[in-house]
Amino acid sequence: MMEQENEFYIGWQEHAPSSFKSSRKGFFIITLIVAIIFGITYLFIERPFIESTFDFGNLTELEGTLVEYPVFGLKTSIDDQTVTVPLVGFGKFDALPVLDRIRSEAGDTPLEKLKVKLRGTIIQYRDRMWMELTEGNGSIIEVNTMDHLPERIINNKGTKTVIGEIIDPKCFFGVMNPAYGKIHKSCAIRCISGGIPPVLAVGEHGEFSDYYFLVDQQGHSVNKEVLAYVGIPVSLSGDVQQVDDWNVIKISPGELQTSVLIKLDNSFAYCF
Amino acid sequence: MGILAFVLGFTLLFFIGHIVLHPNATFETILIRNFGLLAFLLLHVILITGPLARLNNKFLIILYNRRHLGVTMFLMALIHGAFSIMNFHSLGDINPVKSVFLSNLRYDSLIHFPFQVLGFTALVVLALMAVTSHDFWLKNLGPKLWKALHMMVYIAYALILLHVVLGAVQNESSPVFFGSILIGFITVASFHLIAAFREKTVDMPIDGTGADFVKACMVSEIKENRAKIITVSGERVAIFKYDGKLSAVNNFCRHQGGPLGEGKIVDGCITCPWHGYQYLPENGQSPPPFTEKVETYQLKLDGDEVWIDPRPFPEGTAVAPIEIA
Amino acid sequence: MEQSISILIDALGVYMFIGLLFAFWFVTVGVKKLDVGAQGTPWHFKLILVPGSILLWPVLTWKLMAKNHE
Repeated sequence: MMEQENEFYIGWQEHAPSSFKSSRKGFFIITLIVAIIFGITYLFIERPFIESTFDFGNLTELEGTLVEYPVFGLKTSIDDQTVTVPLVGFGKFDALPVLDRIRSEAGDTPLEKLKVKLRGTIIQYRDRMWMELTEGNGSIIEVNTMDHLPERIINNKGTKTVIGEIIDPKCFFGVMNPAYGKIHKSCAIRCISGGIPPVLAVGEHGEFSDYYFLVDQQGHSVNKEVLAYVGIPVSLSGDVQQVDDWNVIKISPGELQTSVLIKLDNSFAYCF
Repeated sequence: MGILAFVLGFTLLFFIGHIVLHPNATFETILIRNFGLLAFLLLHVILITGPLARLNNKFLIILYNRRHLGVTMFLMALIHGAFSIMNFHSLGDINPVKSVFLSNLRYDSLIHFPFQVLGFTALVVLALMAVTSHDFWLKNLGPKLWKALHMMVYIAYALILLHVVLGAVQNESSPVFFGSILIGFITVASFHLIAAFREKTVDMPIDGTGADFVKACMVSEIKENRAKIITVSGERVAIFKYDGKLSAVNNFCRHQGGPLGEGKIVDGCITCPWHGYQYLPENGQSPPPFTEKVETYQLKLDGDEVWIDPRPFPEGTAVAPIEIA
Repeated sequence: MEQSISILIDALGVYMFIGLLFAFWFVTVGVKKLDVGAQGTPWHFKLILVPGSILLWPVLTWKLMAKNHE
């Protein structure tokens, strides 16, 4: 005991007395045990990740007809099912420059009469497919003219109130995971600010069941107007429309702060 | 080396764990979470080492290596921050750093507060500490400024706590997240409180105002080559016994404020237990080429009783040691 | 507020850029003026000083000026 009390060590000395060494060892082992317990616990309690994918590095070609409403997309057939694949640009941007390019290539032909082949990266969550036109204008493989207009389904479904979260669909459907809630909020704001169409995902905490494109009463984009309401629980009311295989809700941006969009500001439950 | 093995081991475990349990998680998400967790964990370790070493000097060995822990922790936080900015803020319509501050503008709300701003600010504070961890900076910035800069670790800790509670915790559902952050905070706070309390009760202050000499202790209370710390007129003084002599110097090491009285006489020099800075007991000066100096005190003996003049001599004043009969 | 934050971050960028230029000068020339102990130190020691010089260039400038007045 006396011997131990007399032991003295300063960091620049080459050999530390055994009592100092064992203190360091003990401290290291305790830290290690705490870290391992914490790390393993973390793995088991963190919120599960949804099965979304981003086929990064692989380019896929899709052929179909173009739509502009509610968002720029490609109507194509996958496994005998007609689906609308919304198109987005590289990074946090829309793909509208590609649309402009196609338009200029087509000349006088109306957009609806074009049959195009596009190459991009597939983003997918369950039966919802999106495509990133990774190569910009280089994504355009073929543009042909058809002699008939493609069929479109548009059904008005009356006024509805839906509760959910405004997400940026590019990240949500696969580029990032998870891509909702507080952590992803600023990224979603950046994406929507860059032109990615805002989508209302119905549900909360990543348990989303239904999706609505947000547009104004005239069917125009509301990207700038919804920025302040992205990534938080919201309640939205408006006329709902089915457009092919997607839903659209027409909101009034001017009334966002009052009636159409009620921010659930006091929902502290969202915290935990 | 231990730190590096720790970091690599944790990272490996965390990635394998995700591949097995959460195969859908993206690589960047795992990376961001891994390094955020590691930095947060290491910050707690760093904050605990200070009071732990004050409670038991055997842990001074960790304190001596704290700067390595600090720099490692900063690098972990930097990877976490850099990848978060790349992931969430780059390839957009504004400068990524500006995006951190300007995407979420709810500075008026607690729940919706832009938590990434808190993390970014904490990272700047940690950067200031990490880049000045070398002794060059201590010497050239001066101990006062250096110490002030490094005390900002508590500001960083507060910012990081808020960053985590208003960020990651809000995306999770398990109360374990909030609970473990609370346990971490309580642990850090308790160690600091216990150490502060112990330090307060360890030495009885002697009121030396007005008196020429006051009784300090008995010669037998001091071990050979060691010191006894007393407090006179609000200053802590270390009285050393060596080679049949006694000398008294101010207890406060000029390097980082280490307790000289808990040090030892090594090669004829008072050696600070924290980083090994040395002073000659007879004049309080660091041996050349070093230039640090501490105040010295006049002692006298009355039988077996050691008496001290509470008025210090200026730093580095030579005082003849008193011989023990 | 958005505008002031934006200006502040731009200012921060300018600060860092000046710091970068300063750091080049400091580790090659200035450091010897401030601390004679740095004379003839190996390059990896000087490299360690670079990040600190970028972040703390005003303090170093002030210390160097104070040293010149001595």
